Amino acid sequence: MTSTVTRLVMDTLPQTPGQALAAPAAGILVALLVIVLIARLLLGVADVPRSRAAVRTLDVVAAPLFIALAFILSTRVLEILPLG
Amino acid sequence: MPPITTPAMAIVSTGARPYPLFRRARRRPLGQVDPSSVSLVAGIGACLVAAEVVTLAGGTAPGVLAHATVLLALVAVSLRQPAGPAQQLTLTMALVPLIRMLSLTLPAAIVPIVYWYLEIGLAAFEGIFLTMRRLDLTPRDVGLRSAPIREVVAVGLAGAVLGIPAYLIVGPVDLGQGGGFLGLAVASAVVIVFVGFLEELLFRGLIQTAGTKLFSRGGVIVSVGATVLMYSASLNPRYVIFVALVATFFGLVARRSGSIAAPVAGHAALAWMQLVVLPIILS
Repeated sequence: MTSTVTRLVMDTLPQTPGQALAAPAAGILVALLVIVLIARLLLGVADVPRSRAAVRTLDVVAAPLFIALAFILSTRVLEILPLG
Repeated sequence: MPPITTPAMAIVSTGARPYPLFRRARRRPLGQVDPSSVSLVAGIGACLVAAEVVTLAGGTAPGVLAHATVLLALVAVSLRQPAGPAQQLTLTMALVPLIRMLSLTLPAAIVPIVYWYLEIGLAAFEGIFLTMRRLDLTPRDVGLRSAPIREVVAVGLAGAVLGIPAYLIVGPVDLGQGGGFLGLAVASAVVIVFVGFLEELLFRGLIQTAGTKLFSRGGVIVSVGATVLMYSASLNPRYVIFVALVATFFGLVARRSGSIAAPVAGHAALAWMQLVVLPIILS
């Protein structure tokens, strides 16, 4: 795989998973996931009516974003590892 | 003077097929449409179109931000709505910007396209199942029920034939599944499950069902609109028109039978022919 990665591509690739997550598109996804998880935690302990329904609604967003985060991280690691 | 029209009962009694108008009259009437429902769907559609325009004009990052904003807005609106068809439609339509976000953020540079479909599909399936759990929908509620086998086979064959114009419009797509029987099997399974079944479950199973509860026959229009919106990123007008026509066909089939079995067969056959079979045969 290393031989197929040109110098230009290597320069634009993130060097660490943290840099990858700071990239604009993935960064927005991670920020949204953090916001949703915080809101979910707050709703879980809040003494408000329909909080259980609200938590279930937020799960609709949180779970797919969490799966996407796992795929983003794994793919970024696959990108970084061959570069040494 | 003899009557101009023949009584429908007389036709039925002679063993002929029921008069078409007679069958149409037994369907559910259009009924009264709540103006607030029209405003809701128009607002959701406008937001999704705006997010798509931002994506096409501004690029990936602004597009993800726009779709994230729409997603949060739809979730917030659904939280404020009472349980009912409007909430069901709002939450199911929230899956559209969610899936667009996934398609924009999940990296596809070093992953074969077939596994990219798998990544998006797994996350989308999770969202669909959690939406069904939130709305207390059973599999039967979203059209996962048996259908006449003749209808399933007929729509499946029609889908396979429609795969030819789809291939001619879009051109060959390299899924990168590798050669051999294993690559063919993996690509076939991914395309059938994560393109055919997933999209029909979302568009015809969830969105059209919610739209039908709000607008009766207008539910087909809602599902076709959502399908066209998702495919508009192809920037190919001929393909978007083709998708609109095929989505209308699948929507009418699903509404007629109350099951998504036939549309799933048709969509899976179409995608399989377009993405797996024809590239092998013609390249």
